Amino acid sequence: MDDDRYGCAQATELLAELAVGAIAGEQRADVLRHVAGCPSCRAELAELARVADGLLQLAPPVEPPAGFESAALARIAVEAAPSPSVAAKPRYPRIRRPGRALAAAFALVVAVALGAGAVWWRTAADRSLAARTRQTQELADGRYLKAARLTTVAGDSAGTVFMYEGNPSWLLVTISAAPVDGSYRVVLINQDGRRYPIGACEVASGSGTTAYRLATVASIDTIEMTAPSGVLLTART
Amino acid sequence: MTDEALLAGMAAGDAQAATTLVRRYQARVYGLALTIVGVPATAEDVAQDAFLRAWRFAGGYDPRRGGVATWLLSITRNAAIDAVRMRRDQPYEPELLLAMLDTRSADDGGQERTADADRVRTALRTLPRDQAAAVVMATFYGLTAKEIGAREGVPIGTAKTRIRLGLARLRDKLEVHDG
Repeated sequence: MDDDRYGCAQATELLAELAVGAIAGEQRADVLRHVAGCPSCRAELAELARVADGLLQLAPPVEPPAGFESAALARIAVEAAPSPSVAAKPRYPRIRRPGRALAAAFALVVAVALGAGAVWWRTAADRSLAARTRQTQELADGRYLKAARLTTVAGDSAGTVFMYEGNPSWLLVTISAAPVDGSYRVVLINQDGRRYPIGACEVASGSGTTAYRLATVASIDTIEMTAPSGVLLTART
Repeated sequence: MTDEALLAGMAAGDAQAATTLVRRYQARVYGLALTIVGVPATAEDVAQDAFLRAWRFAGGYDPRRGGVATWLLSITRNAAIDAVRMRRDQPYEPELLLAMLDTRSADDGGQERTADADRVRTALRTLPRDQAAAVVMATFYGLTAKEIGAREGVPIGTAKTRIRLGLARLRDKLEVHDG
């Protein structure tokens, strides 16, 4: 990144803290920004993180209470199922899941929260992925992150919309299975029914990602995306 | 079926793969969650959340970055830290944590895993108490250097140094054995 404030010497001092998760806020953002553009620090971080993660296996295994397995699987089923009623069935349908898109979206969640912008997410990987929401929230004064499924008129899943209420608040659209390609117009519809066009999302080979900064995401009721051909995707919050 | 194959199955939406993974790892995931949050009901919720996250992110698993167990346990750690941060009703006890980690538990993962855990345990034992405490408080509880300093009654710079030296020393010890 062009605004890399750290040199290797400074970053190296902090890699251990980053690896164990003992660093937050601005400083964490600065180190991450350096690491993203520095292969040798990235390698060092990966190694330290492996050592830190290796400690986790020392936690003594404990058999969970009866019913744990079915409860855990039920939660997965709710997520995997197209509708909540399927959770009651003993077998879960195999459906196409945007797993990779979600992981990428979370990388982007972190990157955007760091103020790094949408270009950064491809390199943002290292170990910031999934569950760093705590630090993300700490960093960006976050109150919540929520997600809504983006569907076609026929009800097929086309992607996910993430909404982050914090400072700044933002909205991220990630499309993984659009029926047609093109430049989709994105319109927010608030709970009072007012429509706000916020921009466009380029979709190629069925996928595309775009993010917007907003004053708040709390008042959003629906996100509408319309392709040049008129194909409509919607997400209800 | 290998762990990697299970994750590939989960990434493709195979619920049977998720069932197998839960059965295989529930004691370790729940054990880690309990170690961090200290309350069985919360730990159960955290452990379920960890498996849900594993399902969600199975497609992002990269075997080059480490084994499935490590991946799953770090997901669990993150879920547990999120829970602890939200309602911090348990005091942090580094001595208790260190003692727990130092105890060799009943084998549940085969010889290879036990040997690996033993190596890490031995390496951790060589650290001065203050460095070990700083490293495990950060790794398990998600505490920042500032928070560790406050808890241990030392300046933030000292806490940072303990983490850095502690982790470096752990790495050196483990590398020697990797030989």
